[in-house]
This record gives sequence, C-alpha cells and structure tokens, in this order.
Amino acid sequence: MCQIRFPLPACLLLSGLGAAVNSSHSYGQAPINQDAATQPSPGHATLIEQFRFYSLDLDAGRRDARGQTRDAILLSRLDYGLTKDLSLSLRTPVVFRRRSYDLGDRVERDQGVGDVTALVKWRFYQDDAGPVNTTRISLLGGSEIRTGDAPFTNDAYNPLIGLALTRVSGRHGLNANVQWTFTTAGVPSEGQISPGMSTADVFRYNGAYLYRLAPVEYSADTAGAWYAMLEANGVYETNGDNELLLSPGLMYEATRWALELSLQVPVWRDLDNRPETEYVLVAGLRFSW
Amino acid sequence: MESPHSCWQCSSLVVANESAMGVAGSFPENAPVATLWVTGLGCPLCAHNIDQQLKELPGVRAVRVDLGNGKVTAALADSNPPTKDQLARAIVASGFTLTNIQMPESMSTVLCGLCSCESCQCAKSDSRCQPACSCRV
Repeated sequence: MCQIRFPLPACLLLSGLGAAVNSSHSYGQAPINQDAATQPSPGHATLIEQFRFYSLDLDAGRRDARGQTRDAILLSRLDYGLTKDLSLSLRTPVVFRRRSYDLGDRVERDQGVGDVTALVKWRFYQDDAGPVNTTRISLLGGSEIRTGDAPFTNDAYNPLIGLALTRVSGRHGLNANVQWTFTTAGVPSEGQISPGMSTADVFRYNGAYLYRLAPVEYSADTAGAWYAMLEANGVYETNGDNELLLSPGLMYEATRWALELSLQVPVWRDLDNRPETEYVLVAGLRFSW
Repeated sequence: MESPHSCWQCSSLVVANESAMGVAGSFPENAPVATLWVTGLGCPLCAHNIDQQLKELPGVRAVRVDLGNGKVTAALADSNPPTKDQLARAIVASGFTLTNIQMPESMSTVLCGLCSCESCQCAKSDSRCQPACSCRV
C-alpha cells in the first residue's frame, strides 16, 4: 500500500515521473488516451499531468468479489527528447481506490503507486508534406517496472512493444496506436481490477480522429488552437477479456502547454474476469519546456 | 564562424547595439532576420520544438513561427550570428523538414558598416564582409 510503503508526498513525487500504463497520452495534436508518433526535441521535455476517474462495476465471478470500484488516478508522464527521432518516456500512476462490495455493504479504501512504465519511442518514418501536414510512424519499446505496491502492481517486469502513427492534414488529424504487453507474472485473473493485473498478456488497440475547431486558418498570430476529438480505445487480454471504449474529447493547445478533457464510455465488451467500465472522466495538462 | 570582433571599433559598436535592443523575448524589428521555410509543423505545441532548438543557438535573439505558411523567422544578433548550416541543423533536430533558408542580405552590409572596412581589418576576420566591402584580403 502506498500509505505504508510510500508516504503520500512520495506518491505524489513519484507521480511526477510518468503516467499510467492504461492511459498513454502524448502532446502536440496528440490524442488524450493513446500514444502518438510525436516527441519533444533533443534536450527538451514534456510533462503531462492527468487526473482520471474510473467508475467500474464487477457483477460476474465470485459473489463476494462483486461490487463497484471507483479509482481516482493521478497520472504523470515525462517525455524527454534524446535525439530528433528518439525519446524516453516515464509514466507513473498514483491510485486512490474506493471499492464497495455487493455482499454485506462493505467498503474498502486503498491507495498506492502502480507499476512505472519506461518506454523508448523511435520515429522511423516521417513525411512532411506541407507547412502543417505530416505523417509520422514510431516504434515503441519498453517495460513495466514493478513497484510492489499491491494491489496496484502485478509484481513483475513486463516488456512491451508497440507502434504509433500520427497524420496531420490541414484541420484533420488521424492517429493509430497498438501496443502489446508480455505479462511475465501476475495474480490469477479473478478479482483483478485493471487490465494487466492478471497473468494474461494485454493488447491495446487505439484509433483517433482530431478536428481543429479554431482557428480555421493558422497565421503568424496564432497562439493556440482548439481541437475536438473522437477516440476508440480497446483493451484485449489473452484471457479473453475485451472492451472497447469510445472517447469524445476536447483540447486547447497553446505553444507551451495544453489542456485536455475526455469522457470514455463503453461501446462493446466481452468480459469474464475484470470489471466492466461504466465511464472514465479525464482532465489533463501538458507542459513543454 | 570567426568573430568579427578583432576590430575594437566593431566590437564596441555591436555590444552597444545589443544592449539597446535587449534580450530575446519580443521580436526585435530592426535585427537581421533569417527566414526558414519548414514543413510538418503539425500544431502550435509541435512547432514549439523549433522555437526551443533555434533559441539555443548563440546569436539567435528571437523566433517567430507562422504555422499558416511554415515560415520561421529568426532575429539574429549583429555580432556572431549563427551560420546557415547551424540554423538548418536546428530545424532538423527539432523534427521538421527544412525546404528553404534565406539568410539576411543585410548582414554583411551591417557588419561592414559597423566595422569601417576601409582598413580591411574586419573583413579579414569575417568572410561575410569581403564581398560587401570589396576588400582584398
């Protein structure tokens, strides 16, 4: 538990290192709930602080495990540019959990630091077709690093690989991102709350469309831009669990910071082990320096 | 690039000029300007990469990015401005594609005007003065 192994200030400090595994976000006309093929320039960094509120419902499996879970997660992510095509990303979630059980009106509260994700992003394709237009593809590789802070860790070092594509064409932006996590350890699936907490491998599949609301045309006086976006965020586990969320979002992006808001709602699911997502609220800030 | 400051007269004039104009921040209107044409800027936050990389170069005082047409304007210091190659490398490092770069034509004229090139001493220390001053060095 975070309050036992790490005092709260240490939790918050740790959270300054990165963001959550299951909510990788980026910066710069990048979607809120997935990785994009963008990165800071060499010697510079981007910090993304995100508050995520999860409402989850488990009504399958053991009767004494059924109930509702509310997770308030402070996710931090620090991206650092190593070269023009290579960047390093550290992501850490600090989780505050409230779990109520259907049987016996029991309520449990818990807090802790989830596994840290260290990720290297290598951009291997870039085609800049116009002043704003670009297509970029990046390869992602890294590992989840155990914090040992149960139940927010699966207590293992889990390698992961992925691919991210970002395309900007005028006012339109397209993103696609897939990521596979090879789970090397874990607890039995029954009773898990988040994807990746069991022994199953995790496959995340994401897509996003962004539309620049304003300004209609960029100019030398442009100080920021508003974007509306629609994301599809899927999580499949090799134990058969699969859930797809639809995530409308709004983002304001200035030259050194950005503000983002998103709501995730389920549109399709086939879950036998982990709880069903009722909704997820997301609010975040991105800083570049 | 060699500094043009081997001429004492040149050095003092340039220093005075810089303190009068202040440090980078607002865009200095009378400074020599390099214009770079860049593609793939994507968005305001993406384009900030250019700002960061160019401002790290000695001799770049301010940067203005026009996302609409991909025009990046860099205000340069009168003394020891960055070379064309340095500016180009900074754009590449920032993760974008440079399609064209135009250095300030007035640079050699300004330097030579400040340096009183009759003696050709300044021209010897800065090759940009040579064509403008027609100095034989």
